Amino acid sequence: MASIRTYLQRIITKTCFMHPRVYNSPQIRNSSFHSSKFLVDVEVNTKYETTKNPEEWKYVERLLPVTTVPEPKKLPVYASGWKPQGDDLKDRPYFIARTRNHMMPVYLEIRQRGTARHTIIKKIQGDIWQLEKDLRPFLEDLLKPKNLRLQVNEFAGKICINGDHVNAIKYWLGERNF
Amino acid sequence: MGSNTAEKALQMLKFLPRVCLANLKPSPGSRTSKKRGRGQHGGDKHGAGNKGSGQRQNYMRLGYETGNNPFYLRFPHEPYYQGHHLRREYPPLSMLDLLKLIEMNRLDASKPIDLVSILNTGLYKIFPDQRQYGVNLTDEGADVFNAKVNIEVQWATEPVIAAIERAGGVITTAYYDQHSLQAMINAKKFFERGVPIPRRMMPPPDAIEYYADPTKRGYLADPEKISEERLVLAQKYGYELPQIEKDPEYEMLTERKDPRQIFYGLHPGWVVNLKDKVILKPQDEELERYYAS
Amino acid sequence: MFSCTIPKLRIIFPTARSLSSLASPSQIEPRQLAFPPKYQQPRQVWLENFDTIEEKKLAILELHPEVFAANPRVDIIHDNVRWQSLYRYVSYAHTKSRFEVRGGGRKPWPQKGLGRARHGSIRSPLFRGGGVIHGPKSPNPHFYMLPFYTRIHGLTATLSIKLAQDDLHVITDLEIPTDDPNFVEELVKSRKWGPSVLFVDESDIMPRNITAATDSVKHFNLMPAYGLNVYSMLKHDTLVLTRAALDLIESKLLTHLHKNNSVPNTQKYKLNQV
Repeated sequence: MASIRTYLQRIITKTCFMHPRVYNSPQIRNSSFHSSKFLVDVEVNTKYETTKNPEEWKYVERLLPVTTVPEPKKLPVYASGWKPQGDDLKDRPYFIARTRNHMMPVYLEIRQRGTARHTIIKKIQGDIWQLEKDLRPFLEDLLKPKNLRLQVNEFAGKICINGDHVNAIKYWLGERNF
Repeated sequence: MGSNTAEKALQMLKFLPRVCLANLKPSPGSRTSKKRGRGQHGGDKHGAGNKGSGQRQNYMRLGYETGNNPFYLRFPHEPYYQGHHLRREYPPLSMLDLLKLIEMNRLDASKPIDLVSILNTGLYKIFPDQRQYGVNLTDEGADVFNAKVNIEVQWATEPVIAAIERAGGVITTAYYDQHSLQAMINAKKFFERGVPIPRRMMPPPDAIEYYADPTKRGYLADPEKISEERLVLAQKYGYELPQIEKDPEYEMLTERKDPRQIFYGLHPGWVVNLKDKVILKPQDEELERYYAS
Repeated sequence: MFSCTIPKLRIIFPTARSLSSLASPSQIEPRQLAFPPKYQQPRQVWLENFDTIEEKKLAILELHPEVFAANPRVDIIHDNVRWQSLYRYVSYAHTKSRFEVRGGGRKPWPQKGLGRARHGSIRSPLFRGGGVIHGPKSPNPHFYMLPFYTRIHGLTATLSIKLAQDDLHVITDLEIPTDDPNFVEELVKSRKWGPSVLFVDESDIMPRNITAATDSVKHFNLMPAYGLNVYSMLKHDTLVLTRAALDLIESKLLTHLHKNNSVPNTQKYKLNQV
């Protein structure tokens, strides 16, 4: 209501004469930071009850996400095709750790506007050169007449292979229980 | 057990001086100094060319093609884009992905699955401000799907519905409006706002037909007609319809939300206090009437 | 690679004295590692006492290799130290540009006729006493946020280095019998813990005696677990964690390394967080 009054005041002062006591009074706009008063004594009149029901609280807890990635269910066979990592891998010369989402760390990198495809194996621990030795015959057999272009990054624990061999390498690693 | 670089490095560190603030160096090549290249003629025109509007930084307006009819004015009307900014999008989630989530324990199949639980896995995201309205369950992996679930999505086709019902589950399609979606994408953040849970709005006119269709298992459809359609699909796709009435998880499978409800078990109008673990419910008559309508 | 000419430093030979002071293993609870490692061996560290000057080895604790045997990336540690120094630094250097230097509004001499070079103002950068072109402008903040996982790996790398170089010790708690600074000084000296020591406990409210004892000594510092940072760990020669602090730090770092949804952490850091 006050805003309508001040709006009308402004129109009236522009169009006709007004007494100084009227047009000199300060404009109060409650939506303006500058002229609105501080909020004092807000009375909450709505009736409400505070309930503590463990049954209802279970529904609230269902809505909150977990903090860490849970361990997968232990099934004999997974219909989605996912294979868990083996347990007795401490004696292996090398080890390819799973990602935090329990997936294999084999990625396809596409560069040069789609013309260059590289397969990258990450998270390699242990003797990376032994892994390269074991991988070579398998990959060379796949490519047969073509050459295999492979790069080992010992410091970062990565192997980069030219071409898209993601599924082949995942199969090879799965055979060895990684 | 072989030793990798980290192990070798840690072994080396036993015999090297203590790593301290004076010993540190950045990786070679990561920090390059911003030195102006001083080539022949001292760098000359700084890439601005010779004379003309380019060097004088006095360019023509964007899109101007020096007189001929510019591209942005050539085409008076493109009706195929009409209303594209108002069309609803349902980002796809394949049945194979859904199966992976259930098998990897990211989704609990022993409880009803809805948009909130799928979003809480962190692997599927919705952006309501980009007009994305929920999950579109696609049929990739429908042939291997074997999990018995009570799932609520926003869009599903016939083969998807058949695959879920063949596995002994229940599928419902439901609509959530923008305000409900904003509450669902981050339920924890929504509760921390201290705002009462809103009522879910009815679908817009062009969506009501879909969500009232029993063949699409819409949440507004007649439950009797839905059970009829379940039989029809079983005959069409050639599988024996599992009897969920005799299933021990019958109660969980038939758990459904009210058309005005956003979260399972929580009514609109309630305020959830996460810190004190308490729910505030309105007792005002007007409010109760409004939220119950 | 390692010939016998390299001097061997910091080898601790187990003496009969230290072995005899071993408490029975049943008194100390063994540590259960979350996210059990499948390949890397867990690291081991002595649990020592803190209530007597003489060192008593109470038990052996297992440490998770992801936190305490991480790749000792010195370049990541450098990035962390640089970030810690720079993000709160504000440069107050200021130079005046041609518009800020006093004078120079008038054209000094006519454009043509004098045979002199043409100029518009005596404060242009070409002139002696003229403005500086791209000089520093005060105040210039150097705030930036290091990526979240760079900071996590900085912490794990520093902890791994501290453990590898025998500068990490784990004690039961920070309870000492007296508030005398000499007690702590003699303890540190006898155990050869290095001139400066950083004591890390779980919470920021610490026992009275240790706070009184270390208050006057500048090179013994107390820190709650939430204040653990790469700069402090490197500045102090020895890092001493209490059992509770060790549990908290390891669990927090492992949670971040196995987080379900790390998108809120990896998004661009917003200065205005409402």
